[in-house]
Amino acid sequence: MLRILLTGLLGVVAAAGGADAQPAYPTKPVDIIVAFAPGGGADVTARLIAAYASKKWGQSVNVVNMPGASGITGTLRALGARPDGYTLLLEPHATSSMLFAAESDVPFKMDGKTPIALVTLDPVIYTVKEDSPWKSLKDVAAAAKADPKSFRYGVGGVTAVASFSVSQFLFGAGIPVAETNRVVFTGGAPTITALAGGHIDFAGQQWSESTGMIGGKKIRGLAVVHPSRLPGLPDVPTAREAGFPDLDVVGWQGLSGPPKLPAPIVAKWAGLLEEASKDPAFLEQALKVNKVIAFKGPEAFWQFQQEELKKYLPLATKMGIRK
Amino acid sequence: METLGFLLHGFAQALTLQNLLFALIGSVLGTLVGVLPGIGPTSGIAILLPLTGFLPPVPAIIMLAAIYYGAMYGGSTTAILVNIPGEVASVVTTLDGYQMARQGRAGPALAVAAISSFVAGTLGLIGLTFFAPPLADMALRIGPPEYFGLVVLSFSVVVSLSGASLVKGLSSAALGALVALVGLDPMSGVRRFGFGSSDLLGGIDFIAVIIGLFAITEVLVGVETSLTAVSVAALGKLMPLWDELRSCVGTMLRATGVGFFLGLLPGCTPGAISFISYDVEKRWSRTPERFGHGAIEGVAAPEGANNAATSGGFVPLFALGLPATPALAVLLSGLMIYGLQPGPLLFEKQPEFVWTLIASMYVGNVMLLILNLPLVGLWARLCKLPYAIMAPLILIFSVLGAFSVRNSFFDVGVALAFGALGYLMVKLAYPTAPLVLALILTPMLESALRQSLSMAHGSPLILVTRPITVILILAGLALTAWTLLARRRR
Amino acid sequence: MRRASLLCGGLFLALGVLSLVEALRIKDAWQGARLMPAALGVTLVALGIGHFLPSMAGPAGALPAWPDAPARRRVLFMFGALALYVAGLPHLGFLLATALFVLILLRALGSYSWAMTIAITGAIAVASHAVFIYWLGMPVPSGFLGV
Repeated sequence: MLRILLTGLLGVVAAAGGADAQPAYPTKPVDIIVAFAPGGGADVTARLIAAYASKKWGQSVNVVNMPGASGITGTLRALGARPDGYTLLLEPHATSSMLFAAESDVPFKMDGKTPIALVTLDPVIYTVKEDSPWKSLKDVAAAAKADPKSFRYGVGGVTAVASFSVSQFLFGAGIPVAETNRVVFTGGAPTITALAGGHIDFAGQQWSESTGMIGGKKIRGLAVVHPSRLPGLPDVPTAREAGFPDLDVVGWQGLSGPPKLPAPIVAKWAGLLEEASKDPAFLEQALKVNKVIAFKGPEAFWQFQQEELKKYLPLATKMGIRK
Repeated sequence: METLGFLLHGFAQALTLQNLLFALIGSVLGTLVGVLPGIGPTSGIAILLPLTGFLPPVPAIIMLAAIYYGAMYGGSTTAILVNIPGEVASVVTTLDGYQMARQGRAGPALAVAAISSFVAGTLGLIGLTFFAPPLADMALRIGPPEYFGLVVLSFSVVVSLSGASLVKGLSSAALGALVALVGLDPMSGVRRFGFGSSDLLGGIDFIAVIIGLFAITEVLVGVETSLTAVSVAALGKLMPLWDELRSCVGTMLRATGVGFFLGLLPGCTPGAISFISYDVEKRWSRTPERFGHGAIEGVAAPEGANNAATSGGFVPLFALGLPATPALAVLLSGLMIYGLQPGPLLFEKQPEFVWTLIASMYVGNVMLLILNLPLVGLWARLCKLPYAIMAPLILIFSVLGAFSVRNSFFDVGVALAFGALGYLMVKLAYPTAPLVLALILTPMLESALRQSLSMAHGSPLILVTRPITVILILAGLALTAWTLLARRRR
Repeated sequence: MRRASLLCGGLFLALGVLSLVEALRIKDAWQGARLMPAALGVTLVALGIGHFLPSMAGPAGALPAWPDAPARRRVLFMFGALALYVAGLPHLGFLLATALFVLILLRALGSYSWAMTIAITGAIAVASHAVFIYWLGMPVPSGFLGV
């Protein structure tokens, strides 16, 4: 009861003080649906956003996890919700460009949503075991070409980032992929563990997944796919510096909403997120969980996704991933 | 000895009044959350994580760790009292724990669970304290072929749990394996057994299955005989007899060993670990027939193994930044927000942080023991509540629990379906434990096998050329053979 | 028991065939997504056939231990009430559905006066709402009454 009164009061005050005639959004808690389990890359970004928004708007923004079917279950739910701004979707590459590149039969359309903003990037780092004889990407390419049958690489899932990042590298370097050994793990963490244990020779997972072992000197980063070297990894060259300028697979997370979300709500969120991307405290939080902040507004975000799709479609077909 | 110095400093920090308070709050919250079926440590931590948001780093982390341990404790309470395992790891506790409750011995069961958890957890923490980095390195050498060996070993437990009819036990396991395969293949994304339903493609959730198979089935069976209360037997003493406790000492030590070392291995789920520990205990015992009918060791073993596995799970978490279970993954992200940077350099670069955390885990263990032992009487009395009240409560919990896993009504439907199935299984004398074990082990078996094959370009020879793998597989076959022979003799 | 054995055996046989069919339908390597369904299919078929062995029949009249008519009614009633509760949750909302469910069960299982029944119903419904919905914030649907 008190809660309702207070909220109502807040609403009146906001309306009286603000320029808009309607009660200021949000007037009740907002749910950001994450279609993956807690603790994963998408979840972490969602919590970053939720914490920031809650603080700025004084209204609680909750993260609701709905894992299942590689993110399809939760995404379907979010996209089918009422477009009133109180149910949003944390949209990562895995349910957007990479999904549509790999699958031809998705139960929702890529444009069946309202893109709001890109928030974080999770750059790919190509890694090998710490004591591996390969000291650079060029070494890896040479070794794989010389003896593909004993070259083992791991990916955290057939349609995951690593699948695209490693295959882009292998195809680009002219390695006979069909003769290599691809070991599929159920996520980034097992892949990195297997690499550290010497059960596979090469991986291309995201920063947040690889950083622990790199810091612990169990694995070594050979190159990072990013315009500049990553803070905290000053010794890892960029892909360009390593001699492979065409590598450009990256993991990302953004915010979207169900279709027909009203423009003012989109603008409000986009504004908040843009502000966050310049806020040093937010940036610091993000770095702590190994995410790079990279803001793109609604139109730019959509553009970005379409470009990604164009990039990944041929790769997926070549890899035989596309179904 | 430097380690000891840091540890003592850590204790000094952990034992400040403020931090103790937060450890207490965390333990209570965690226990509450663990008691609710379906809300295991994973969702519990996820739900409670924001609460720690406005605390300074050290108390916040202490609270998070306390919540985690608390949730593990809480799950055992409902497992014993009403046959509802609070999370995966408590499933095995129901086998003997609930039987003890039916016999009016809920008190000793709960007490032994608390004591065993405490002992094993503390010993496990000692292992963590002194051996983390070398253990972590050892853990890395376990690759897919070795995991395959481990799973083969675990499957021998299925035979052991099969009861009178081997065919029925194996059929139950096969059913569990089938259920595990429904959904998207986690490795290749291929749809399996989906039949066009996007709900089915999401897979059949494990928690929903055990809620149905244990809680709902139990209520259906109970209603048959018009139960007046969960336990009609007079409420006996609240504490176990001295002799019983003494016989459990060996159990607790064995459980600690099994739990800690298996808990080290990322990807070895707590559920599998508690089954293995239970089986070890059963084989060790001179009177294995008691197991499944209220043997106190049958509670001490899985509970101890659980907590030891929890401590063991922190080894890869701290030393390698690798969470061994999903709950630890959430915990890790929470910890990282507070500045923890896991990895082998953790102990060197952030000793204060780590040792305070470890010290507070010791404190948390003690706190939970102190919290839970007096509460045993209270909980035990719940078993005497009229069934007319308990039954609806159990069912409401079950529905909410199944729903809360993925916020989905499909899971509630699954729970209902398995409730009905469980009832039929009880009537037709098909053991349910093998189904659960197979449900846990099948995904592990599949990924280990397929990964091993792809490491060797499709050749199964890899499974017989790596020493550890060979040992494990042979051990598994030997154990299975031994169990089969023992059954023949009976 | 013989009949039950045969039925179950048939069921497992059918499941085994289903699994094998699925294994054939899947478009992946035999060592990939097809491996387990195939292996499981074979196992299920074998187990199904195993049910037809005479040893599975067991001593005559031993099982299945179906309960007598009144007990059967109770079990079916309980399951029915539960199913209705679940079906009604999305439409009636948590508070109302739970209250109705508890009411029905208390009347069926307990021997309380109407007053006590209502009191207990209210207590349980409100308490669970407070703990799960209000405090823990579980997103259960709110039904038409908004609770």
